[in-house]
Amino acid sequence: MNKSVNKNILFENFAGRATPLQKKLIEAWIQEPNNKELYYEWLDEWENLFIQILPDTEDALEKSLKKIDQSEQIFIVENKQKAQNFLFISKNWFLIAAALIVVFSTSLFLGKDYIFYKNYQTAYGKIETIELLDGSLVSLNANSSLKVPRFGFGNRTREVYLLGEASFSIKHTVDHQRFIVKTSKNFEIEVLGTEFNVNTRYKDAKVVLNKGKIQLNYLEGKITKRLTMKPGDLVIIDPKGKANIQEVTQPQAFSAWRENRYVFDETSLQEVAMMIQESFGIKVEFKEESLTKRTISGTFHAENADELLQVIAELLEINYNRQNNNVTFFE
Amino acid sequence: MTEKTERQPKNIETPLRILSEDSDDIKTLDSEVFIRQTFKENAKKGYELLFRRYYRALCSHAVRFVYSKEVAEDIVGDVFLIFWKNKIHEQITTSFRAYLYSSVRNRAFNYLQWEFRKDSNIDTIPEQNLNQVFEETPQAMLQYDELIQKIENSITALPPQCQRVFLMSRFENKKNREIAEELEIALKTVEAHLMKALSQMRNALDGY
Repeated sequence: MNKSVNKNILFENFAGRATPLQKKLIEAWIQEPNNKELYYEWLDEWENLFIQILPDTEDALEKSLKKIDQSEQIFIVENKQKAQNFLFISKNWFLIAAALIVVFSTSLFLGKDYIFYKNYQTAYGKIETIELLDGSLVSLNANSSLKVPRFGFGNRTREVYLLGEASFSIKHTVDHQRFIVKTSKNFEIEVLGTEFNVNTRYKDAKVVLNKGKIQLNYLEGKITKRLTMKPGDLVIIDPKGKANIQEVTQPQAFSAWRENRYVFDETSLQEVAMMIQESFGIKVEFKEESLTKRTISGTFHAENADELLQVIAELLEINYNRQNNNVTFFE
Repeated sequence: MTEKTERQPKNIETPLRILSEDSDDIKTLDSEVFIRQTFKENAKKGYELLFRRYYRALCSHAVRFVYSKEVAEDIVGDVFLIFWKNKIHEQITTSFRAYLYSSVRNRAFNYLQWEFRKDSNIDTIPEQNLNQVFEETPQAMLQYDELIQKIENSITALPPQCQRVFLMSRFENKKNREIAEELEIALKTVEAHLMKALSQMRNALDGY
């Protein structure tokens, strides 16, 4: 076992006082897995000796456990649905019969959509990540829904239906299966494997491509048109079906909401208000008309509506008043 | 960005070790035996122990990279959540400590890359390295040690007032306006100091 390095040398290294030769020595020494462990053990010891900040561990732990609880609740709901699917492939006839009865009776209440599609729906202020059967990931923004066929998904084609806003990270399949995102607007997106963001919330729908290549099929008037997008392209489709391509330098800014980050680039307060209404279900009003024209730029982190409202108010040096789901900004 | 690929485990000469209670490896891990045991009996309790044991020191380590208490705490919090979500305790072949420290370093580094080189994509951070147990190359480990030094040196080298403004803004999270009032200087001066400090940090990151 290589014992060329002792704690002193390593501490000197952490403190930035090791010579280049000592660094070489350390590099050779950590090649051994046991020494690598020792390196981290001593790093931890050193860090405890020369602590830089004093965070509140208990507070952080409490928050962490809360986050775990929240994500596990979603997990339980998904598992229940998986259990229902399982019944169909079971060899036990009793279970199949029982399942069929359950399915038919629920269909009476919920309609055939419920049998054929699994519907994911996010509440105001909540973001959810969904893993589809083919391994593709979809982050669903607040107040949005995604419908995925329960049967046949991934057999020949993959099709989903989106209302609201979502970011997609699509797995490329071996047989080059197409993935199609249908929307309530006059367009759909066809892809092989890629990352992109779709927003159908507002009058103008927006599609932004991060990686790969996608094809946009849209209806301009009554004519179906096609458009191929490359990374960094932003396409805005107006209600009449006119598509307008722009290049953006930071396509990933459009999916920043996934990290609870909000990116504004000379965005008018009017647009921000619309976003808040869609994402948090909060109606925003302005006492002075002039406020709607003021703009915000920058990236902000906000866990909830209150944090975001506060940031906006501080930034523009204006005030706001919130009563339940109504907010009024004023000078 | 070529550096990044080097951080991936390329050639691990020794095969991954399977840890068993009676192997020699346990010697260096003995301080974690209790936590390991608790994970087996009650994973949530194990998680709590692990969190209490390493949270503070990990934050202290992360802050050496990012110089912001808030960001450091976020990074460490995320690493713990990923640990839980992916049940790392069931698949880990190193000590928890080695996993946590290398994940925190990796994530802190990625964060800096994202903050100072806006061209790199933040979306790649969560998926890139952290979902699996990975091993850091010795070279990468020492590079992290050097990077910490470079960042520290670049901040120590700032003129005193500039350094003060930088720490108030980034570390204490104060608004430019508050800093200007507190130090009785113009808002423009505060902004200029910050620009300077941030460009120094960017320089320190060059070449990584």
